[in-house]
Amino acid sequence: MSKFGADTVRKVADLARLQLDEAEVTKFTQQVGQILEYVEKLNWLDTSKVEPLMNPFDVTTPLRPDEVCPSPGAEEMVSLAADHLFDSYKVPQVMGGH
Amino acid sequence: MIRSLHEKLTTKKVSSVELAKHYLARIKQDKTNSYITVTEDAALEMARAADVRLAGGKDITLLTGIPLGLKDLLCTKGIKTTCASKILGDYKPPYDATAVARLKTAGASLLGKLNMDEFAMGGSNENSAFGPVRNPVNHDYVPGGSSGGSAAAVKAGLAAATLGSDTGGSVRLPAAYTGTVGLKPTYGSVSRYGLVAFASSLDQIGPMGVSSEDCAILLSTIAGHDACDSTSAARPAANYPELMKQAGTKKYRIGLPKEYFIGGLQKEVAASIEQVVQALKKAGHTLVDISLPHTEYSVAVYYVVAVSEASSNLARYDGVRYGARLGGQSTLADMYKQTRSLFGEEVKRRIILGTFALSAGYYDAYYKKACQVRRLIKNDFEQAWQQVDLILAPVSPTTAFKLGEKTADPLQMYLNDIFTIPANLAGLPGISVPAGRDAKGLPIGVQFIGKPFAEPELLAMARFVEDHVHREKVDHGI
Repeated sequence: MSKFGADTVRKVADLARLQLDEAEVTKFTQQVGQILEYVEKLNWLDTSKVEPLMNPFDVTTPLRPDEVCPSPGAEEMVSLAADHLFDSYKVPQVMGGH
Repeated sequence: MIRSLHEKLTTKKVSSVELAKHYLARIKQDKTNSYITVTEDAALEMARAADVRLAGGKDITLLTGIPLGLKDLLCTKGIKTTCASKILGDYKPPYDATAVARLKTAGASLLGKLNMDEFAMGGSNENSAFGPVRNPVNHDYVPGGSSGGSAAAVKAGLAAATLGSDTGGSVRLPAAYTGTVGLKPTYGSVSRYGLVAFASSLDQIGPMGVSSEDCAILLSTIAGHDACDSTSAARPAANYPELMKQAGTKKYRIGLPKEYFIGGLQKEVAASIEQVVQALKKAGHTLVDISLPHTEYSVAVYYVVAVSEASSNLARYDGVRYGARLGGQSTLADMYKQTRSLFGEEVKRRIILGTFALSAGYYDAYYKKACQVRRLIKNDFEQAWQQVDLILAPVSPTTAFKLGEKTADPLQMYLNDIFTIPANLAGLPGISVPAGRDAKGLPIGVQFIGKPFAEPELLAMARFVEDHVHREKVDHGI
Protein backbone atom coordinates (compact mmCIF):
# COMPACT_ATOMS: atom_id res chain seq x y z
CA MET A 1 0.00 0.00 0.00
CA SER A 2 2.75 2.41 0.83
CA LYS A 3 6.41 2.94 1.38
CA PHE A 4 6.78 3.68 5.03
CA GLY A 5 10.20 5.23 5.58
CA ALA A 6 11.90 7.59 7.99
CA ASP A 7 10.65 10.63 6.04
CA THR A 8 7.07 9.44 6.44
CA VAL A 9 7.57 9.03 10.18
CA ARG A 10 8.96 12.57 10.40
CA LYS A 11 6.07 13.98 8.35
CA VAL A 12 3.42 12.10 10.33
CA ALA A 13 5.06 13.10 13.63
CA ASP A 14 4.88 16.71 12.50
CA LEU A 15 1.17 16.32 11.63
CA ALA A 16 0.57 14.80 15.07
CA ARG A 17 2.66 17.51 16.78
CA LEU A 18 5.08 14.96 18.15
CA GLN A 19 8.75 15.70 18.64
CA LEU A 20 10.84 12.62 17.91
CA ASP A 21 14.59 12.21 18.23
CA GLU A 22 16.50 10.31 15.55
CA ALA A 23 16.62 7.13 17.61
CA GLU A 24 12.82 7.21 17.88
CA VAL A 25 12.49 7.88 14.14
CA THR A 26 14.62 4.82 13.40
CA LYS A 27 12.75 2.64 15.86
CA PHE A 28 9.26 3.72 14.78
CA THR A 29 10.16 3.39 11.09
CA GLN A 30 11.02 -0.25 11.67
CA GLN A 31 8.20 -1.07 14.11
CA VAL A 32 5.34 0.81 12.47
CA GLY A 33 6.54 -0.46 9.09
CA GLN A 34 6.33 -4.01 10.41
CA ILE A 35 2.82 -3.43 11.76
CA LEU A 36 1.69 -1.93 8.43
CA GLU A 37 3.14 -4.93 6.63
CA TYR A 38 1.04 -7.16 8.88
CA VAL A 39 -2.05 -5.01 8.23
CA GLU A 40 -1.60 -5.60 4.49
CA LYS A 41 -3.40 -8.91 5.01
CA LEU A 42 -6.67 -6.94 4.95
CA ASN A 43 -6.12 -6.68 1.19
CA TRP A 44 -6.60 -10.42 0.83
CA LEU A 45 -10.30 -9.69 1.23
CA ASP A 46 -12.54 -8.19 -1.43
CA THR A 47 -14.55 -5.58 0.45
CA SER A 48 -15.74 -3.59 -2.56
CA LYS A 49 -19.39 -4.26 -1.65
CA VAL A 50 -19.02 -3.95 2.14
CA GLU A 51 -20.28 -0.90 3.95
CA PRO A 52 -17.70 0.32 6.53
CA LEU A 53 -18.66 -0.19 10.17
CA MET A 54 -17.49 2.76 12.27
CA ASN A 55 -19.51 1.95 15.39
CA PRO A 56 -20.64 -1.50 16.54
CA PHE A 57 -24.33 -0.65 16.47
CA ASP A 58 -24.52 1.86 13.61
CA VAL A 59 -25.89 4.42 16.05
CA THR A 60 -27.52 7.60 14.94
CA THR A 61 -27.01 10.77 16.94
CA PRO A 62 -29.64 10.87 19.67
CA LEU A 63 -31.45 14.15 20.13
CA ARG A 64 -32.70 15.74 23.34
CA PRO A 65 -34.87 18.76 24.08
CA ASP A 66 -32.93 22.00 23.74
CA GLU A 67 -32.98 22.81 27.45
CA VAL A 68 -30.24 24.50 29.43
CA CYS A 69 -28.58 22.13 31.94
CA PRO A 70 -26.17 23.06 34.71
CA SER A 71 -22.49 22.82 33.81
CA PRO A 72 -19.24 23.97 35.39
CA GLY A 73 -18.51 27.66 34.95
CA ALA A 74 -15.76 29.05 32.73
CA GLU A 75 -13.67 30.06 35.74
CA GLU A 76 -13.60 26.51 37.06
CA MET A 77 -12.67 25.10 33.67
CA VAL A 78 -9.86 27.55 32.89
CA SER A 79 -8.42 27.04 36.36
CA LEU A 80 -7.34 23.60 35.14
CA ALA A 81 -5.06 25.17 32.53
CA ALA A 82 -1.33 25.68 32.99
CA ASP A 83 -1.87 29.38 32.31
CA HIS A 84 -4.95 31.55 32.00
CA LEU A 85 -6.04 35.15 32.14
CA PHE A 86 -9.49 35.86 33.61
CA ASP A 87 -11.66 33.21 31.94
CA SER A 88 -9.49 32.74 28.85
CA TYR A 89 -6.66 30.33 28.13
CA LYS A 90 -3.25 31.92 27.79
CA VAL A 91 -0.80 30.43 25.28
CA PRO A 92 2.59 31.41 23.84
CA GLN A 93 2.79 33.48 20.65
CA VAL A 94 1.07 31.82 17.72
CA MET A 95 3.13 33.38 14.91
CA GLY A 96 6.75 32.46 14.41
CA GLY A 97 6.21 28.72 14.52
CA HIS A 98 5.12 26.59 11.64
CA MET B 1 -16.70 -11.30 48.34
CA ILE B 2 -19.01 -8.25 48.17
CA ARG B 3 -22.04 -10.12 49.51
CA SER B 4 -20.09 -11.63 52.40
CA LEU B 5 -18.63 -8.22 53.30
CA HIS B 6 -22.13 -6.74 53.03
CA GLU B 7 -23.41 -9.34 55.48
CA LYS B 8 -20.57 -8.56 57.88
CA LEU B 9 -21.45 -4.87 57.63
CA THR B 10 -25.19 -5.28 58.12
CA THR B 11 -24.75 -7.68 61.05
CA LYS B 12 -22.27 -5.21 62.65
CA LYS B 13 -19.42 -7.72 62.61
CA VAL B 14 -17.32 -5.03 60.99
CA SER B 15 -17.80 -1.34 60.26
CA SER B 16 -17.18 0.39 56.93
CA VAL B 17 -14.34 2.35 58.50
CA GLU B 18 -12.71 -0.84 59.79
CA LEU B 19 -13.09 -2.40 56.37
CA ALA B 20 -11.56 0.62 54.64
CA LYS B 21 -8.69 0.68 57.15
CA HIS B 22 -8.11 -3.04 56.60
CA TYR B 23 -7.68 -2.56 52.85
CA LEU B 24 -5.66 0.66 53.27
CA ALA B 25 -3.25 -1.23 55.55
CA ARG B 26 -2.89 -3.97 52.93
CA ILE B 27 -2.23 -1.34 50.25
CA LYS B 28 0.65 0.03 52.36
CA GLN B 29 2.28 -3.44 52.23
CA ASP B 30 1.66 -3.84 48.49
CA LYS B 31 4.53 -5.20 46.38
CA THR B 32 2.65 -5.23 43.05
CA ASN B 33 2.59 -1.46 42.39
CA SER B 34 -1.15 -1.68 41.79
CA TYR B 35 -2.05 1.83 42.94
CA ILE B 36 -1.01 5.15 41.45
CA THR B 37 -2.94 7.24 43.98
CA VAL B 38 -4.29 6.11 47.34
CA THR B 39 -7.09 8.35 48.62
CA GLU B 40 -6.94 7.45 52.28
CA ASP B 41 -8.75 10.51 53.64
CA ALA B 42 -11.52 10.38 51.04
CA ALA B 43 -11.94 6.62 51.54
CA LEU B 44 -12.32 7.02 55.29
CA GLU B 45 -14.73 9.90 54.87
CA MET B 46 -16.88 7.82 52.52
CA ALA B 47 -16.66 4.88 54.94
CA ARG B 48 -17.82 7.06 57.82
CA ALA B 49 -20.79 8.21 55.73
CA ALA B 50 -21.53 4.57 54.88
CA ASP B 51 -21.51 3.66 58.57
CA VAL B 52 -24.07 6.40 59.25
CA ARG B 53 -26.19 5.04 56.43
CA LEU B 54 -25.89 1.47 57.69
CA ALA B 55 -26.81 2.56 61.21
CA GLY B 56 -29.87 4.39 59.88
CA GLY B 57 -30.97 1.30 57.98
CA LYS B 58 -32.12 3.30 54.96
CA ASP B 59 -30.91 3.32 51.34
CA ILE B 60 -28.49 0.48 52.01
CA THR B 61 -27.17 -1.16 48.85
CA LEU B 62 -24.88 -4.16 48.43
CA LEU B 63 -22.06 -1.67 47.85
CA THR B 64 -22.65 0.53 50.88
CA GLY B 65 -19.40 0.58 52.81
CA ILE B 66 -17.57 -1.72 50.36
CA PRO B 67 -14.00 -0.55 49.58
CA LEU B 68 -13.40 -0.41 45.84
CA GLY B 69 -10.57 0.66 43.50
CA LEU B 70 -10.83 2.47 40.18
CA LYS B 71 -8.65 2.27 37.09
CA ASP B 72 -6.91 5.61 36.80
CA LEU B 73 -8.70 6.64 33.61
CA LEU B 74 -12.03 7.10 35.34
CA CYS B 75 -12.50 10.75 36.20
CA THR B 76 -12.78 11.43 39.91
CA LYS B 77 -13.71 14.94 40.99
CA GLY B 78 -10.80 16.64 42.71
CA ILE B 79 -8.73 13.43 42.73
CA LYS B 80 -5.80 12.89 40.37
CA THR B 81 -6.70 10.99 37.20
CA THR B 82 -3.41 10.35 35.45
CA CYS B 83 -4.14 7.65 32.86
CA ALA B 84 -0.66 6.46 33.94
CA SER B 85 0.76 9.29 31.84
CA LYS B 86 3.11 12.14 32.64
CA ILE B 87 0.93 14.38 30.49
CA LEU B 88 -1.92 14.05 33.01
CA GLY B 89 0.37 13.56 36.02
CA ASP B 90 -1.30 16.26 38.12
CA TYR B 91 -4.70 16.39 36.44
CA LYS B 92 -7.64 16.67 38.83
CA PRO B 93 -10.94 16.41 36.93
CA PRO B 94 -13.73 18.85 37.77
CA TYR B 95 -16.34 16.07 37.66
CA ASP B 96 -16.93 12.36 38.36
CA ALA B 97 -17.38 9.78 35.62
CA THR B 98 -20.97 8.51 35.61
CA ALA B 99 -19.83 5.05 36.75
CA VAL B 100 -17.91 6.63 39.64
CA ALA B 101 -20.83 8.87 40.59
CA ARG B 102 -23.11 5.82 40.68
CA LEU B 103 -20.71 3.90 42.94
CA LYS B 104 -20.58 6.90 45.26
CA THR B 105 -24.38 7.14 45.31
CA ALA B 106 -24.51 3.44 46.22
CA GLY B 107 -22.30 4.23 49.20
CA ALA B 108 -19.03 2.53 48.19
CA SER B 109 -15.74 3.70 49.75
CA LEU B 110 -13.23 4.50 47.02
CA LEU B 111 -9.70 3.55 48.04
CA GLY B 112 -7.80 5.08 45.15
CA LYS B 113 -6.75 4.99 41.53
CA LEU B 114 -5.22 1.91 39.98
CA ASN B 115 -2.20 1.52 37.75
CA MET B 116 -2.64 0.73 34.08
CA ASP B 117 -0.90 0.94 30.72
CA GLU B 118 -0.63 4.59 29.69
CA PHE B 119 -3.95 5.65 28.15
CA ALA B 120 -4.94 1.94 28.29
CA MET B 121 -2.50 1.13 25.51
CA GLY B 122 -0.91 -2.20 26.24
CA GLY B 123 -1.49 -5.78 27.21
CA SER B 124 1.06 -6.20 29.98
CA ASN B 125 0.86 -3.10 32.19
CA GLU B 126 4.50 -2.36 31.42
CA ASN B 127 3.65 0.94 29.68
CA SER B 128 2.91 2.97 32.79
CA ALA B 129 4.71 6.20 33.65
CA PHE B 130 4.42 5.00 37.25
CA GLY B 131 6.22 1.71 36.69
CA PRO B 132 4.95 -1.73 35.79
CA VAL B 133 2.46 -3.73 37.84
CA ARG B 134 3.53 -7.18 38.98
CA ASN B 135 1.32 -10.23 38.93
CA PRO B 136 0.36 -11.06 42.54
CA VAL B 137 0.47 -14.78 41.70
CA ASN B 138 4.15 -14.53 40.70
CA HIS B 139 5.96 -11.20 40.79
CA ASP B 140 8.23 -12.12 37.86
CA TYR B 141 5.21 -12.15 35.57
CA VAL B 142 3.04 -9.41 34.11
CA PRO B 143 -0.56 -9.09 35.34
CA GLY B 144 -1.79 -8.41 31.80
CA GLY B 145 -3.09 -5.06 30.66
CA SER B 146 -4.21 -2.57 30.33
CA SER B 147 -6.28 -2.86 33.55
CA GLY B 148 -3.35 -4.61 35.29
CA GLY B 149 -3.67 -2.64 38.52
CA SER B 150 -7.42 -3.33 38.69
CA ALA B 151 -6.83 -7.08 38.33
CA ALA B 152 -3.80 -7.27 40.62
CA ALA B 153 -5.59 -5.29 43.34
CA VAL B 154 -8.48 -7.77 43.34
CA LYS B 155 -6.15 -10.77 43.47
CA ALA B 156 -3.82 -9.31 46.10
CA GLY B 157 -6.70 -8.15 48.30
CA LEU B 158 -6.02 -4.43 47.86
CA ALA B 159 -9.70 -3.70 47.12
CA ALA B 160 -12.84 -5.79 47.47
CA ALA B 161 -13.48 -5.29 43.74
CA THR B 162 -12.49 -2.80 41.05
CA LEU B 163 -13.44 -1.18 37.78
CA GLY B 164 -11.29 -1.50 34.66
CA SER B 165 -11.87 -0.69 31.03
CA ASP B 166 -11.70 -2.90 27.97
CA THR B 167 -10.90 -1.62 24.47
CA GLY B 168 -9.37 -4.79 23.01
CA GLY B 169 -9.30 -7.13 26.00
CA SER B 170 -8.01 -4.87 28.77
CA VAL B 171 -10.38 -6.24 31.40
CA ARG B 172 -10.50 -9.87 30.27
CA LEU B 173 -6.77 -10.40 29.68
CA PRO B 174 -5.58 -9.21 33.11
CA ALA B 175 -8.45 -11.12 34.72
CA ALA B 176 -7.19 -14.29 33.01
CA TYR B 177 -3.54 -13.66 33.94
CA THR B 178 -4.29 -13.01 37.61
CA GLY B 179 -7.05 -15.55 38.27
CA THR B 180 -9.86 -13.04 38.71
CA VAL B 181 -13.18 -12.48 36.94
CA GLY B 182 -13.51 -9.63 34.45
CA LEU B 183 -16.53 -8.61 32.42
CA LYS B 184 -16.50 -6.45 29.31
CA PRO B 185 -20.11 -5.33 28.93
CA THR B 186 -21.93 -4.79 25.65
CA TYR B 187 -20.89 -1.53 23.97
CA GLY B 188 -23.29 1.09 25.32
CA SER B 189 -24.19 -0.81 28.53
CA VAL B 190 -22.05 1.36 30.78
CA SER B 191 -21.78 5.08 30.20
CA ARG B 192 -18.38 6.24 28.94
CA TYR B 193 -18.94 9.73 30.36
CA GLY B 194 -15.81 10.53 32.32
CA LEU B 195 -13.89 7.54 30.98
CA VAL B 196 -10.80 9.10 29.37
CA ALA B 197 -11.15 8.14 25.72
CA PHE B 198 -8.75 5.80 23.95
CA ALA B 199 -10.84 4.38 21.08
CA SER B 200 -14.39 5.62 21.44
CA SER B 201 -16.11 2.97 19.31
CA LEU B 202 -14.49 0.18 21.34
CA ASP B 203 -14.04 1.39 24.94
CA GLN B 204 -16.24 -0.03 27.71
CA ILE B 205 -15.90 0.18 31.48
CA GLY B 206 -16.00 -3.27 33.05
CA PRO B 207 -16.22 -4.72 36.57
CA MET B 208 -13.48 -6.95 38.00
CA GLY B 209 -13.79 -9.12 41.06
CA VAL B 210 -12.95 -12.40 42.73
CA SER B 211 -16.25 -13.87 41.55
CA SER B 212 -18.91 -13.62 38.88
CA GLU B 213 -21.36 -12.38 41.49
CA ASP B 214 -19.10 -9.46 42.41
CA CYS B 215 -19.04 -8.44 38.77
CA ALA B 216 -22.84 -8.75 38.62
CA ILE B 217 -23.24 -6.53 41.69
CA LEU B 218 -20.95 -3.85 40.29
CA LEU B 219 -22.61 -4.00 36.87
CA SER B 220 -26.06 -3.47 38.44
CA THR B 221 -24.81 -0.18 39.83
CA ILE B 222 -22.81 1.19 36.90
CA ALA B 223 -24.95 0.06 33.92
CA GLY B 224 -28.05 1.80 32.61
CA HIS B 225 -28.76 4.72 30.34
CA ASP B 226 -26.92 8.00 30.76
CA ALA B 227 -27.83 11.09 28.80
CA CYS B 228 -24.22 12.30 29.07
CA ASP B 229 -23.00 9.56 26.68
CA SER B 230 -24.59 9.69 23.24
CA THR B 231 -23.72 6.01 22.66
CA SER B 232 -25.30 4.88 25.93
CA ALA B 233 -27.95 2.19 25.29
CA ALA B 234 -31.52 3.21 26.10
CA ARG B 235 -31.89 0.52 28.75
CA PRO B 236 -32.56 0.89 32.45
CA ALA B 237 -30.29 -0.49 35.18
CA ALA B 238 -30.98 -4.13 36.03
CA ASN B 239 -30.54 -6.55 38.91
CA TYR B 240 -27.76 -8.68 37.42
CA PRO B 241 -27.28 -11.03 40.43
CA GLU B 242 -30.95 -11.97 40.06
CA LEU B 243 -30.84 -12.13 36.25
CA MET B 244 -27.73 -14.34 36.31
CA LYS B 245 -29.47 -16.70 38.72
CA GLN B 246 -32.42 -17.02 36.33
CA ALA B 247 -30.09 -17.43 33.34
CA GLY B 248 -28.27 -20.20 35.22
CA THR B 249 -31.36 -22.40 35.18
CA LYS B 250 -31.48 -22.64 31.37
CA LYS B 251 -29.70 -24.91 28.91
CA TYR B 252 -27.70 -23.30 26.13
CA ARG B 253 -26.23 -24.06 22.76
CA ILE B 254 -22.60 -23.05 23.11
CA GLY B 255 -20.32 -22.55 20.11
CA LEU B 256 -16.66 -23.47 19.89
CA PRO B 257 -15.16 -21.38 17.06
CA LYS B 258 -12.59 -23.46 15.23
CA GLU B 259 -10.49 -20.36 14.45
CA TYR B 260 -9.82 -19.90 18.18
CA PHE B 261 -8.27 -23.34 18.59
CA ILE B 262 -5.20 -22.97 16.42
CA GLY B 263 -1.49 -23.65 16.67
CA GLY B 264 0.18 -21.55 19.33
CA LEU B 265 -2.52 -22.22 21.89
CA GLN B 266 -0.78 -23.37 25.07
CA LYS B 267 -1.68 -27.02 25.76
CA GLU B 268 -2.80 -26.31 29.29
CA VAL B 269 -5.11 -23.52 28.06
CA ALA B 270 -6.67 -25.95 25.57
CA ALA B 271 -6.97 -28.57 28.33
CA SER B 272 -8.79 -26.14 30.60
CA ILE B 273 -11.28 -25.33 27.86
CA GLU B 274 -11.82 -29.05 27.35
CA GLN B 275 -12.56 -29.45 31.05
CA VAL B 276 -15.15 -26.68 30.79
CA VAL B 277 -16.62 -28.31 27.68
CA GLN B 278 -17.00 -31.67 29.44
CA ALA B 279 -18.59 -30.06 32.50
CA LEU B 280 -21.04 -28.12 30.32
CA LYS B 281 -22.01 -31.27 28.40
CA LYS B 282 -22.52 -33.17 31.62
CA ALA B 283 -24.84 -30.42 32.81
CA GLY B 284 -26.97 -30.75 29.70
CA HIS B 285 -25.71 -27.89 27.55
CA THR B 286 -25.09 -28.52 23.86
CA LEU B 287 -21.65 -27.78 22.42
CA VAL B 288 -21.53 -26.91 18.73
CA ASP B 289 -18.53 -26.45 16.43
CA ILE B 290 -18.84 -23.12 14.68
CA SER B 291 -16.75 -20.91 12.42
CA LEU B 292 -15.91 -17.21 12.72
CA PRO B 293 -13.99 -17.07 9.45
CA HIS B 294 -12.64 -13.51 9.69
CA THR B 295 -11.05 -13.95 13.13
CA GLU B 296 -7.52 -13.89 11.70
CA TYR B 297 -8.08 -10.33 10.47
CA SER B 298 -9.21 -8.97 13.83
CA VAL B 299 -5.79 -7.86 15.09
CA ALA B 300 -5.09 -6.04 11.81
CA VAL B 301 -8.49 -4.32 11.93
CA TYR B 302 -8.05 -3.39 15.56
CA TYR B 303 -4.59 -1.90 15.14
CA VAL B 304 -5.92 0.39 12.44
CA VAL B 305 -9.27 1.33 13.99
CA ALA B 306 -8.10 1.70 17.61
CA VAL B 307 -4.99 3.71 16.76
CA SER B 308 -6.89 5.95 14.34
CA GLU B 309 -9.44 6.79 17.00
CA ALA B 310 -6.66 7.18 19.56
CA SER B 311 -4.64 9.58 17.42
CA SER B 312 -7.75 11.74 17.13
CA ASN B 313 -8.75 11.45 20.81
CA LEU B 314 -5.24 12.20 22.06
CA ALA B 315 -4.97 15.36 19.95
CA ARG B 316 -6.63 17.12 22.90
CA TYR B 317 -3.45 16.86 24.98
CA ASP B 318 -1.89 20.05 23.76
CA GLY B 319 -0.94 21.78 27.01
CA VAL B 320 -3.61 24.46 26.57
CA ARG B 321 -6.72 23.55 28.56
CA TYR B 322 -5.62 20.96 31.12
CA GLY B 323 -2.79 18.57 31.84
CA ALA B 324 0.90 19.33 31.76
CA ARG B 325 2.47 22.08 29.65
CA LEU B 326 6.10 22.23 28.54
CA GLY B 327 7.76 24.99 26.51
CA GLY B 328 5.39 27.74 27.53
CA GLN B 329 7.94 30.45 26.72
CA SER B 330 8.41 29.58 23.03
CA THR B 331 5.81 29.49 20.25
CA LEU B 332 2.47 27.71 20.31
CA ALA B 333 3.69 25.05 17.84
CA ASP B 334 6.79 24.36 19.95
CA MET B 335 4.70 24.19 23.09
CA TYR B 336 2.46 21.55 21.50
CA LYS B 337 5.44 19.43 20.56
CA GLN B 338 7.30 19.77 23.83
CA THR B 339 4.18 19.05 25.84
CA ARG B 340 3.37 15.98 23.78
CA SER B 341 6.89 14.64 24.26
CA LEU B 342 5.57 13.64 27.69
CA PHE B 343 3.72 10.74 26.04
CA GLY B 344 5.40 7.36 26.53
CA GLU B 345 6.79 5.28 23.69
CA GLU B 346 3.77 3.04 23.11
CA VAL B 347 1.42 6.03 22.98
CA LYS B 348 3.67 7.83 20.49
CA ARG B 349 3.92 4.70 18.35
CA ARG B 350 0.14 4.39 18.19
CA ILE B 351 -0.35 8.09 17.46
CA ILE B 352 2.13 7.79 14.57
CA LEU B 353 0.34 4.71 13.23
CA GLY B 354 -3.12 6.25 13.65
CA THR B 355 -2.19 9.62 12.16
CA PHE B 356 -0.69 7.81 9.18
CA ALA B 357 -3.81 5.63 8.72
CA LEU B 358 -6.00 8.73 8.67
CA SER B 359 -3.70 10.92 6.56
CA ALA B 360 -4.52 12.15 3.07
CA GLY B 361 -4.04 9.41 0.51
CA TYR B 362 -4.08 6.57 3.02
CA TYR B 363 -7.52 6.90 4.66
CA ASP B 364 -9.29 4.58 2.22
CA ALA B 365 -6.47 2.06 2.15
CA TYR B 366 -6.25 1.72 5.90
CA TYR B 367 -9.08 3.20 7.98
CA LYS B 368 -11.94 2.60 5.58
CA LYS B 369 -10.64 -0.84 4.64
CA ALA B 370 -10.34 -1.82 8.31
CA CYS B 371 -13.89 -0.60 8.98
CA GLN B 372 -15.15 -2.73 6.08
CA VAL B 373 -13.46 -5.83 7.48
CA ARG B 374 -14.82 -4.87 10.90
CA ARG B 375 -18.31 -5.33 9.45
CA LEU B 376 -17.34 -8.78 8.15
CA ILE B 377 -16.18 -9.72 11.66
CA LYS B 378 -19.47 -8.50 13.10
CA ASN B 379 -21.37 -10.44 10.41
CA ASP B 380 -19.50 -13.61 11.44
CA PHE B 381 -20.96 -13.30 14.92
CA GLU B 382 -24.44 -12.61 13.56
CA GLN B 383 -24.18 -15.81 11.54
CA ALA B 384 -23.00 -17.67 14.62
CA TRP B 385 -26.01 -16.48 16.63
CA GLN B 386 -28.22 -18.38 14.15
CA GLN B 387 -26.65 -21.56 15.51
CA VAL B 388 -25.71 -20.89 19.12
CA ASP B 389 -26.60 -18.77 22.16
CA LEU B 390 -23.08 -18.26 23.49
CA ILE B 391 -19.48 -18.78 22.46
CA LEU B 392 -16.74 -20.40 24.55
CA ALA B 393 -13.14 -19.50 23.74
CA PRO B 394 -9.72 -18.94 25.25
CA VAL B 395 -8.97 -15.44 26.55
CA SER B 396 -5.37 -15.53 25.43
CA PRO B 397 -3.19 -18.07 23.61
CA THR B 398 -0.99 -18.45 26.70
CA THR B 399 -0.88 -17.74 30.41
CA ALA B 400 1.01 -14.67 31.71
CA PHE B 401 4.52 -13.99 30.41
CA LYS B 402 7.53 -12.57 32.21
CA LEU B 403 8.11 -8.85 32.60
CA GLY B 404 10.21 -7.56 29.72
CA GLU B 405 9.65 -10.67 27.61
CA LYS B 406 7.63 -9.00 24.84
CA THR B 407 8.43 -5.30 25.17
CA ALA B 408 10.92 -5.25 22.28
CA ASP B 409 8.41 -6.55 19.74
CA PRO B 410 5.14 -4.59 19.69
CA LEU B 411 3.58 -6.75 16.97
CA GLN B 412 4.04 -9.93 19.05
CA MET B 413 2.46 -8.12 21.99
CA TYR B 414 -0.49 -7.08 19.78
CA LEU B 415 -1.05 -10.63 18.48
CA ASN B 416 -1.68 -11.71 22.04
CA ASP B 417 -5.04 -9.91 21.86
CA ILE B 418 -6.44 -12.04 19.02
CA PHE B 419 -9.16 -13.77 21.10
CA THR B 420 -10.39 -10.70 22.94
CA ILE B 421 -10.42 -8.10 20.15
CA PRO B 422 -13.32 -9.53 18.08
CA ALA B 423 -15.88 -8.90 20.86
CA ASN B 424 -14.84 -5.22 21.00
CA LEU B 425 -15.00 -4.82 17.24
CA ALA B 426 -18.53 -6.28 17.22
CA GLY B 427 -19.61 -4.48 20.44
CA LEU B 428 -20.38 -7.78 22.18
CA PRO B 429 -20.10 -8.64 25.87
CA GLY B 430 -17.38 -11.05 27.01
CA ILE B 431 -16.36 -12.46 30.37
CA SER B 432 -13.12 -14.00 31.53
CA VAL B 433 -13.29 -16.52 34.37
CA PRO B 434 -10.50 -18.61 35.94
CA ALA B 435 -10.59 -22.26 34.86
CA GLY B 436 -7.36 -23.68 36.28
CA ARG B 437 -3.63 -23.20 36.63
CA ASP B 438 -0.76 -24.22 34.37
CA ALA B 439 2.34 -26.22 35.37
CA LYS B 440 4.06 -23.02 36.53
CA GLY B 441 1.09 -22.25 38.78
CA LEU B 442 -0.10 -19.38 36.59
CA PRO B 443 -3.86 -18.84 36.23
CA ILE B 444 -5.72 -19.84 33.07
CA GLY B 445 -8.83 -17.92 32.03
CA VAL B 446 -11.62 -18.98 29.71
CA GLN B 447 -13.92 -16.61 27.91
CA PHE B 448 -17.61 -16.60 27.11
CA ILE B 449 -18.86 -14.19 24.44
CA GLY B 450 -22.55 -13.41 24.09
CA LYS B 451 -25.12 -11.59 21.98
CA PRO B 452 -25.64 -7.91 22.71
CA PHE B 453 -26.88 -7.48 26.30
CA ALA B 454 -26.39 -11.17 27.18
CA GLU B 455 -24.52 -10.20 30.36
CA PRO B 456 -26.83 -12.35 32.56
CA GLU B 457 -26.02 -15.45 30.50
CA LEU B 458 -22.27 -14.71 30.56
CA LEU B 459 -22.32 -14.20 34.32
CA ALA B 460 -24.27 -17.46 34.70
CA MET B 461 -21.67 -19.31 32.65
CA ALA B 462 -18.86 -17.83 34.74
CA ARG B 463 -20.70 -18.97 37.86
CA PHE B 464 -21.00 -22.42 36.29
CA VAL B 465 -17.22 -22.60 35.81
CA GLU B 466 -16.68 -21.45 39.40
CA ASP B 467 -19.08 -24.10 40.71
CA HIS B 468 -18.13 -27.04 38.49
CA VAL B 469 -14.60 -26.57 37.14
CA HIS B 470 -12.33 -24.34 39.18
CA ARG B 471 -12.51 -21.80 41.94
CA GLU B 472 -9.49 -19.62 42.67
CA LYS B 473 -8.52 -19.26 46.30
CA VAL B 474 -9.38 -15.86 47.70
CA ASP B 475 -7.58 -14.33 50.63
CA HIS B 476 -8.27 -10.72 51.45
CA GLY B 477 -7.44 -11.40 55.09
CA ILE B 478 -10.98 -10.77 56.26
